[in-house]
Amino acid sequence: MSTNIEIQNLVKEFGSFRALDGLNLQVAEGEVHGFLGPNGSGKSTTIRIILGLLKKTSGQVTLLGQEPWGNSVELHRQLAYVPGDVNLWPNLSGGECIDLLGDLRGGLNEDKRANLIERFDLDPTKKFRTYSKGNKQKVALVAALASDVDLYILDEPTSGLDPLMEATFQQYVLELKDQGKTVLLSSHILAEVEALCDRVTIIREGKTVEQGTLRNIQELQRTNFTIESKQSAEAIANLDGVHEFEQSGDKASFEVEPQHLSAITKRIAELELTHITSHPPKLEELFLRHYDHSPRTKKQ
Amino acid sequence: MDRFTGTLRLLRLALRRDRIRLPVLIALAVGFVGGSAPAIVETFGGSKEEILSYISSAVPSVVGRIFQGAVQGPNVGSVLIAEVFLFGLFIIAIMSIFVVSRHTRHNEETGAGELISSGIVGRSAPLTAALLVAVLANAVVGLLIFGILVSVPEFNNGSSAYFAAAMAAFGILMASVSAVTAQLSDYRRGANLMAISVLGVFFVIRALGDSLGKIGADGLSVTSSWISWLSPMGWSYLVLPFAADRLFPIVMLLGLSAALSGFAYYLMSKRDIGSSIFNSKPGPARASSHLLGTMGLTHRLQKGNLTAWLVGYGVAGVLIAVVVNDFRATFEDSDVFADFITTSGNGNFMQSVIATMFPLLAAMLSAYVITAISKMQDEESSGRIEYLLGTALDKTKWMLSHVGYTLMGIVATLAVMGVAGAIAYNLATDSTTSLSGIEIGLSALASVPAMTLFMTVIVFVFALRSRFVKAFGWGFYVYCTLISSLNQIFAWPTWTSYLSPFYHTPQYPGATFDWLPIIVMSVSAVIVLIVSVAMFNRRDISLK
Repeated sequence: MSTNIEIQNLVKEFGSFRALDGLNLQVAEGEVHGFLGPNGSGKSTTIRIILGLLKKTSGQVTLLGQEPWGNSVELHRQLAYVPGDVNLWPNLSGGECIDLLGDLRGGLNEDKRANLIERFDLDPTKKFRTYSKGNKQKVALVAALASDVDLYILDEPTSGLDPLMEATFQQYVLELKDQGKTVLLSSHILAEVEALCDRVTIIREGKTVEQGTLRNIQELQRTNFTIESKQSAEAIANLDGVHEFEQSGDKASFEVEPQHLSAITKRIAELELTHITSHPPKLEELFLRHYDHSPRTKKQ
Repeated sequence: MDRFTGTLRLLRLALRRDRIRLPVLIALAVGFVGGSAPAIVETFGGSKEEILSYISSAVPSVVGRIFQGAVQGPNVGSVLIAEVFLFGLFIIAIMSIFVVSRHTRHNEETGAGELISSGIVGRSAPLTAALLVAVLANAVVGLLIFGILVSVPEFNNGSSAYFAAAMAAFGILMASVSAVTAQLSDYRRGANLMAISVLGVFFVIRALGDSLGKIGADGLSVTSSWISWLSPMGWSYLVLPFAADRLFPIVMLLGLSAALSGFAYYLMSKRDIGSSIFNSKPGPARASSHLLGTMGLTHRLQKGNLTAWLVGYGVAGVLIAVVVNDFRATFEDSDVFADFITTSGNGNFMQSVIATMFPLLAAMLSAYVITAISKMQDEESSGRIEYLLGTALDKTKWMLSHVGYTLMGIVATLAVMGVAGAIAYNLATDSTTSLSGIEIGLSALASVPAMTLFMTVIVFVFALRSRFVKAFGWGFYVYCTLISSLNQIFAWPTWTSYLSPFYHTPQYPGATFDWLPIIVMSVSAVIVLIVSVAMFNRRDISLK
């Protein structure tokens, strides 16, 4: 499988501010790749460098085998992009915006256009300024998805869609995946990422902190425990395979790696438990940890 | 009075948001009117003859009456009204229209209005606060103008109060018009356009009324026809400051303002927040082929602005031709203009006037270039450029489409000015005059290279850093339009003039046409443009 997007050690500085600080990202052909990170972590900046809209300070960026800066026109014929900020011409109708952007991209697929407008339940005759936030987003989505291209770069495309439209969007992306198209999806909606993405890259403060398939990301294999006991659970904190240990009063919470699970549960059983819950890990917890700016509370 | 809860708080918010824009507009209005007063006194105050010749030429001229109003006898106050009243009214009218729509409709459009109304804010408070800002601004304009006028001995009398009040009252009226149109349209530009159209109708009715007026027996005053009474702008003139000092037209203006404001409150009570009496009509579901492509979009974004300027240049062309003709009739034998001709080169009097005035006018109207090039900055600052450049659209092609369109606009506007001037001149003069239509047309077009160079300098700034475009553009504009007068007044070195491209436009007709500056400016423009394109390709687009 070839790589559509390859980024190594990307650095971008705006004056003295370092927005990207050694970022890595690989998107393989035919995959839906989730691109995650807190607000201001550099997702949109990365995407804009991939598209050749911004110039990198240093590092390696390859889009479809080429350096994007300076080659963007040719590259953009092969991709469709939905920026995060939905702001088109206020006095053009939604239909006009879709046709115009499609034409500038080198033409759009009429069948797809009609199909998308119907599925997203969009009224193309309204002036752009009169659309609600969700409908503005639909215009941008239809404009991008109606093109016959192989690569889709979507920057938080669904933050204003209702659950019904969100489902329509997810269905459409799965269809794209079936057709072998590549999608880079930046999103904050974790359920969406879990439902759609083969692999994810998580960044924080301009650095890649996690990448791989959802199944392979180590921390996603751990089991979460919350226990209550009259006795101190501090001893567990120092065992192999225990992470993110926190104790407050009678309550302790921690995560356990799969290969240490039976050893640890035996130790837990020795405590005088009054309460115990355990649940599989969620992307959300991984996120909260990476998004949290306070230093980690992990004890070794 | 729950309806008005929070008005004062919103008033403070509005004043805070307008802390730069409002003082600038007030300074513009006051500076123009107040600054002209001492200059007029200096030119006309000393000699009764100058005033007489000025008035006796203004009275019979129809175009004069359209733009100068119905003149009331040979005194320096009449000259002041003829010179500054109309433009002053336009400035404060536009200021009032924009202030009200900005703090009412625009807030609702952006959603800020909804947020404000969800607080402890009465339903009528936002509109009331907007109207109060406008009333305050107009009161300040009126007081400052009054203050400056009474500091000039010739105007140190009660008439100055009527003069200032007539202006301020018209501003307040236009604020109330804007309050109504803000209820009618669901977006700010639409509301502004409606209010400006109303202003245009007021002007046309008043112009018609004054041009149909009766000339007094002495030939030095005009009585407006009854038609002028149909226009609130006419009422403002009919205060007749420095002549009759009538109070009741001011009362009429304020009364109508109150009635229109009441009507605006009524309309507001009939609609939901964010909606309007005339909601936006739906547009086409498909783009027409005219909209497609780089040039299609550029044309769509630029055409409204260009159309407005074409009308403006046309009016300017007519105006200048008629003024030149009036000048000829009045001053052909005067010593002042004999001097003028000898200092401004060979050729006859009219050629010199045309050759001097068209480049000046071209410099003033180069504001078009700033508004057109600013469209690129609008696309960038709004983030729409990200959609455009995210497609297969080339940065160079995008930039050149706007530059090319603006260049086409420059040629078109100057051509319209030349043709309108030539037609007006030939209709207004008899066959004995020595100025041909072609000469007038070419004189206008001679400014094309200077304006193109002016444009490329602004494009260069855009290529450097887009957010500087408007500040630099207007700064450069003011420099170019004022420098030749300023360095005469303050005896600055001559090279300060050289920095303005308009200084180098050859004086034509009247002297032999000098091709050298034309060639130098054209070549410079091409070089600056090439550098700009290269720089724009090299820089990041600025995105949020």
